[in-house]
Amino acid sequence: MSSGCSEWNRLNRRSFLKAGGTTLGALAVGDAMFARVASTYAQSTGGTGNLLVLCELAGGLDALSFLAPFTNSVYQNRRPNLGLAADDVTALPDNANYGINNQFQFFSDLYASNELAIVQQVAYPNGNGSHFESQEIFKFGVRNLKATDATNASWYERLRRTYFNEPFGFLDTRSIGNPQNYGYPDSTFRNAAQEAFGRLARMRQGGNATQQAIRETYARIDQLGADLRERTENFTSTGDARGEFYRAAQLASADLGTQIIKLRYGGFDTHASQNDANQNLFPRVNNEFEQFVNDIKALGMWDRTTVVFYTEFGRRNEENGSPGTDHGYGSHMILAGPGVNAGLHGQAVTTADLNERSLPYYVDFRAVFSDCIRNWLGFNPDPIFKVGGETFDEQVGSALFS
Amino acid sequence: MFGDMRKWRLLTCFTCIALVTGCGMDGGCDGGMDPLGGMNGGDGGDGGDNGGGGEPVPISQSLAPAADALNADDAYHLLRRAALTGKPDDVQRAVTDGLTATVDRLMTLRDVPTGILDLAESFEDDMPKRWLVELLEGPNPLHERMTMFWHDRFATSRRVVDGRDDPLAITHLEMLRENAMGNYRVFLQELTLDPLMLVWLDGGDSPKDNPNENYTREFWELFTLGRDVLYTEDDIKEGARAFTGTLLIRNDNDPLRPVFDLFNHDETDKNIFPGRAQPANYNFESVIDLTLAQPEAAEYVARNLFVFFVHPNPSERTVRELADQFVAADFEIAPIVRTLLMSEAFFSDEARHSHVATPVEHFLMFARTLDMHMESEDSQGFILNRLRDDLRDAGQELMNPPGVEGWTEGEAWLEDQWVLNRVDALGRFMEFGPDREEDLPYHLLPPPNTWDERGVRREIVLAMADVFHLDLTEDEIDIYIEVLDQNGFLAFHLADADNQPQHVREMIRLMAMDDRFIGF
Repeated sequence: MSSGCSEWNRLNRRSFLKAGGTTLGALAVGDAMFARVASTYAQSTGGTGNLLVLCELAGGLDALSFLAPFTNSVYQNRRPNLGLAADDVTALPDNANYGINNQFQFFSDLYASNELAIVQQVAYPNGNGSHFESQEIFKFGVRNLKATDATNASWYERLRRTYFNEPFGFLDTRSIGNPQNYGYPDSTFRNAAQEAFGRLARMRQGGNATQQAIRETYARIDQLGADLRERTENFTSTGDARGEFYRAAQLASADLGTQIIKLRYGGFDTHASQNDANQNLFPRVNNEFEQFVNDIKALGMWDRTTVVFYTEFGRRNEENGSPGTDHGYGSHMILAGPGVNAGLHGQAVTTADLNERSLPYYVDFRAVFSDCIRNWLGFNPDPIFKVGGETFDEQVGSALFS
Repeated sequence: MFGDMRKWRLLTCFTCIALVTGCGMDGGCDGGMDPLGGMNGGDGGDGGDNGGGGEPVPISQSLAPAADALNADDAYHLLRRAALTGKPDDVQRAVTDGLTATVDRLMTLRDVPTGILDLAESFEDDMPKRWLVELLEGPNPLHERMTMFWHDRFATSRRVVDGRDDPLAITHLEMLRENAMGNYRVFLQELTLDPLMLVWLDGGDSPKDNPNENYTREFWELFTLGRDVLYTEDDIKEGARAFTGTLLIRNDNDPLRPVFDLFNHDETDKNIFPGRAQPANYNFESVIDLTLAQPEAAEYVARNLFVFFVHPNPSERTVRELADQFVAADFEIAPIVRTLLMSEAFFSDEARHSHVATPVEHFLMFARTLDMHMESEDSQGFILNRLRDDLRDAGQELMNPPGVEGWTEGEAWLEDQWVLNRVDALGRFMEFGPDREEDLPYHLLPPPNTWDERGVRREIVLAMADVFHLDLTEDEIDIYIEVLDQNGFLAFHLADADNQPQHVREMIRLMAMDDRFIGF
């Protein structure tokens, strides 16, 4: 696979240079910034050039509704309304006591084809029940949010700056929105203001370092917009869904040296009527993810893609009267892709775990992301997570990539 | 056992006297003052006089008064940096009046007109909107700017309270505003007792048998000394005991209210800054006094204010000089602000365009410079909602800072998405003016009945460039004319009169993104 990767890089480098030439023609002559910005599209040195897709399931994924210990009577007793029965799940081929919710059928398929790893009971020490704070901990990768400069940027943005400092190294579907519209917001007939924004920034000289930094930012934005628009124009999906995974596939197809794509699905905070909520939510995530995998396969990129699903915390073991589940603690992280070491990881949910108020945690989420950074992207994760004296249990217990 | 705050503050006056006396007797407070005296003595005694016997001070570090005469660029720089306005009339007036009179006027506190007060209050505790009205329309832009400065330094968020406690954000803002140009010592006392702060940093949940260190740590790290300056982890443990005793209680459905519970204050001695002071039974007031007695405290404020008003690189000598003034003024903030605004350093090349405007600063400078207001029925609701969202998406939602360290600074504001969202914020007023008719600063533009003349395109560009103090090259002028012409789709002077305002709006908004405007 490693030779395939470098071949892929070479090919795309060439196709970019070709596309870059087209872009250059559309710009005013003498735009000094262009050459500098364009030269930064190169793939990172030292890394694998693989793609890591981060899918945040915001609100708190109920791990027991994804992978149900459906044969466990404690599970069924604590969840008279919400417990999944044998009919509701597809039992794991290698462990008949656990089954993936049929609303996540595609995940079961991937599991069967050895392309899905489930890291069970993941969180971070001294769990915080606030969505906001817990999401920030997953975002920044540090527990003590105040203690360190690390909170100036997400861990994935810090990773980009540290190892592949390119303008498009990390893209968030939510901040890009529709890439066909990305750039200076403009209501003129022919994007006159958008074009002027970039031209003025490149044309002006002088000023102090702050002013130059401002103009470089504008030039970068302009370039990013032009490239995103041009290079996503011909993207066609294999399916009809137009959710966040569609955006992620669009961005992946643009081939801008991107190594991390972040996307987010909300709605997992199911305090009430959880069955009704999941009936819509789970199949939607499942189907849009399946479409993404098909799109990525059509782009020839699946071999070098890993998708990681994570959530800020799990939910309570016992259902409430609504019936739903309140904020809990441990939840599962899910890794999908041909490169993952498929199967169950972490600590399987036991009767003792189910008798707790919430699932505890056995694996620190940073250990999982560290494995992704080290063994999938090929970078040292230490400068990313071990900041400001921060320490964590670095053991997942098993290799997540084969 | 619970006294209300007013009674208790009377009580602490006595406590305070006792403490100070006690300190004096065992030498604790004197010990704290020593380094300050020693430093003054060791500084060659030039007292900050640039003409004295020491090395010459570069203009960029000089706190000596600048010349009183202001040219238009000086005046524009002063008004923008001090009051976030570049309104042409104000600039002209500053040129006429000179530096001293202009700074005097900026520093004079005026009553907020009833109409503006009513409009702001109509938003009740809808804080970003309420404050935005006051920021844009209030008559005290320098004071509001200082309020924003302290809000960033003492960053506190309303997101930790809800429902019946929402009004605590108003209380907090009023506390910041009252003290923004007042006395730093009093400010720190009121900050410590502010109910939103007591929730935000757990000061209201710090019983003496299990003190919470959160407030103590930030008090030194962010509010008074700076990260890892002077204090140690042991000091934090001891300081947390000194800060015990403040509780939050609730009567009926009223918002939380701070009280002092003597039985919850640790009345034993605390050993804080052991090299500098003897152990004593500190409470929050005397620990504030102890902190301010350390030279690092005045230097921290001096450095922060210099960076905020002048440029990011004050020398240690300049910081010390300003800190000495601050101590000599018994921690009154206004005289230091005046020194900075009138200093040679303020008008040095290093100071010009050295700041990246935050989204809120950028928007305020834009709207004030163009003299655009929140006055229509529509702008009181719809536009403010949009504006609040745009500014939030641009990275700055007032009263909801990202964390206790406040907002990011300088070039860190240049995140792509944040920059793009500013553009929407800038256009918001013009886009949805009174009655949702597109509005423009017509008073700054050639009369619209001349807009069908070819030559007016250039006049429009130059008129607005003049307002923004942009010295445009011919190439830049051509690009702006192209924007007016919408890239040749239909030349501006030939365009439908209904479409022309939108073309002008795009051109103005683009100019307001120029590095000479956002960099102020």
